[in-house]
Amino acid sequence: MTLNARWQGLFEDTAPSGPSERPAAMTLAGTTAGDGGASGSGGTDLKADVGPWHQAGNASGELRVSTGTSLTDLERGNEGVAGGTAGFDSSAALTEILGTWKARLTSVRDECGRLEGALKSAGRDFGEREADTQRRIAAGAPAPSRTKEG
Amino acid sequence: MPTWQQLRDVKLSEYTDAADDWGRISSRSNADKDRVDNGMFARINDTQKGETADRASADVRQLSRNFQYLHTECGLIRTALNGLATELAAPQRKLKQALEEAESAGFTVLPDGRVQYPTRSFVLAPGSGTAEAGAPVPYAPGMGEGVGSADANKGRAEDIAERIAQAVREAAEIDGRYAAALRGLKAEPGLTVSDETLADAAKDTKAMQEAAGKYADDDKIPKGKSPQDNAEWWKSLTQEQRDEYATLYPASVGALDGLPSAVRDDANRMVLAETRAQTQLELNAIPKPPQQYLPNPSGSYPAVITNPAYREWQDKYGDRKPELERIKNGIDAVQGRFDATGKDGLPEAYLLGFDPRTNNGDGRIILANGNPDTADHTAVYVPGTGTEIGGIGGDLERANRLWTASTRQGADVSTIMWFDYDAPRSAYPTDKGDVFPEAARNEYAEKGAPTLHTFMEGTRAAHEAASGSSGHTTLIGHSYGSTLVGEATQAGRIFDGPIADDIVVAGSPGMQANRAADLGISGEHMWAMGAEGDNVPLGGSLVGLGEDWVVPTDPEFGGNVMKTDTHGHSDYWNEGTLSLNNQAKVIVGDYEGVILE
Repeated sequence: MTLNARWQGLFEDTAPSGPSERPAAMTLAGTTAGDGGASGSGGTDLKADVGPWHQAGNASGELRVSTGTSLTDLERGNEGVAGGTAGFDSSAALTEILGTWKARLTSVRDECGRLEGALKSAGRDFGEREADTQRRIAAGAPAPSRTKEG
Repeated sequence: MPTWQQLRDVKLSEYTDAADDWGRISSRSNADKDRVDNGMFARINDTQKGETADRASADVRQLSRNFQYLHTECGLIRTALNGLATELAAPQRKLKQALEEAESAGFTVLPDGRVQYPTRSFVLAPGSGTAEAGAPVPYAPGMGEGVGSADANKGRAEDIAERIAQAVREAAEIDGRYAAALRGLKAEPGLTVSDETLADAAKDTKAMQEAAGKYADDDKIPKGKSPQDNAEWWKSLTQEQRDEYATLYPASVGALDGLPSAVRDDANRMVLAETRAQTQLELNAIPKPPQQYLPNPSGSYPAVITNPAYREWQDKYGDRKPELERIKNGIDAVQGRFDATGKDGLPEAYLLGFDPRTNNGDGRIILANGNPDTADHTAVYVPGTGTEIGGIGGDLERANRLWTASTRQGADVSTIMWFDYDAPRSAYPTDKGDVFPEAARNEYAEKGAPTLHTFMEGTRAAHEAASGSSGHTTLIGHSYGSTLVGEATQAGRIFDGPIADDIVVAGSPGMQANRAADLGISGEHMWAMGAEGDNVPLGGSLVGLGEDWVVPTDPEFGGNVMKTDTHGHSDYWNEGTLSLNNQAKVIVGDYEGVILE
């Protein structure tokens, strides 16, 4: 999954977050609670406060599906109108606006997809930084084993 | 314009089927909006700060606005299509009756709508005639012809032709009206939902109220009825009708006491978003004030004169601009509360009332933390003197703190900030330049009392509908808000029962009663606070807002007097204080835990 380009720059500029910014309790709670079962993104690197970002990403994924369903509804619901209502200007008007809503729903669906990826990536990135910081601070403590996703 | 054949053949079910699908999209978008607000926004909000989160928040907020936009506009399209189908059914029926009659009489309806009939006469030669619409005798098609004609069929054919033409004319009017309304419901391209777009959505709603007024009539929305009646009405509707009323008349539905909080919230958020956009656009359109003074052109005394352009600007915008800014501040405060969901564990918010113009310009904002329909304990906080929409942020914050403090007691709580009355602006002599402070008069409370009483009834009705019981309720009045609470307890009918299970007042100048029992509750459910340095109770007793100069913190009043550790009139809701904690104990019904004076 590629990190959204728009946010990429932000991560590079963000100084590694110190422990004072995020209390250790949060990290530990996150480690145990985790959200590994939340979806199939499969990363074992989801630790600490990655959870909420990942969950927000999942929510966005659900919204992408939901908006896709709306697009299907839109097509199905209006397909009979033109044939069954010849001569009525309202049907012509409906056809005119139909395209604009298809375009809007498509934009919204795609945005949900983009956000899904971007939020999850952001969460993963935050998590990695967090883990790195933890390692540096508590040197010697066993670091959680994890694989970096490519 | 349809022909009579097209009107005969039109499958109106195609429109209602399409309406169902637009309705589904509208409802789904509404649910999706909640998922964005509570499932995405709140999560990001809760965890991260910094630029990344800000960017993400902006994107997520835009998504939320999109779902709001889809909810509104697709809902209106649904209503347009349903209205179209419903209204077209009448002329179609009329046409079909005319056609059947023509057929049974042995007439032929020609493609252009004229009616061919066989001659029926003793004097005329057998043959046929053709009747067309547009009778020589207006308003009596067929009559004149029938009576005066030697051909008995002529009048009847004329009548049929006229009815066919009428049906087609009616259908064309309906079609034209809805076609225009539908064309107004285009989506803007792209992903942005600008202020212009939202302001247009408000206009679209108005236009659809006009266009579909015959179909979805706002006269059917109960007005001035009891919350129980409102709840019954809502229950009597189909889900589709509910959705239609909520999208077509959001301001009316949002204000209806007794309806489910989630329904009111959706409707009021729609009004809020559109009002925010309209307010911002109007503010943007106001030019900068011109320079106030100009050098005197005659060069003599005085050295400067008032710029006529400035005076003109003042006349035009001098009052309006601060008013708009006030409204915008209030809306921003509410939006700020929406955005705070998830922060510090704050629950989702329900906007139960929003109207920036009512109450003599003070406005109306009612906002719940957590769903009051399902909470075990509901507290309603009523602010006091000087409250108006522009400064509502502080009162919203107090309700937040009440929620946090009482939730910490381990209970399921909803706290409501209720502001829906014309509040007196001045608290003491010389305040805001008033020689006699407005708060010394009880008329403000008298006017607001029935509104508060109805709201409390509605809270109970909605709770009963959702949870089967009324739940435990606490009514909290600050300052003049407590005077209003006192009036409200006496504004109901005698068989209504008490307005709330517990009443808490802070810095009360009097409650228009001299003992707790007059409020419909026993003394043990009356809780009063008067902090050190809070002069309002004394001031109130002097101007007589109590009865017989008694205020609730006096022993004669017969209620509990709670210990306070805050100072002055306005600190009762400071975090971590006994003053706040005592209120939380009452809210959750832990009376033993309250520390008394």
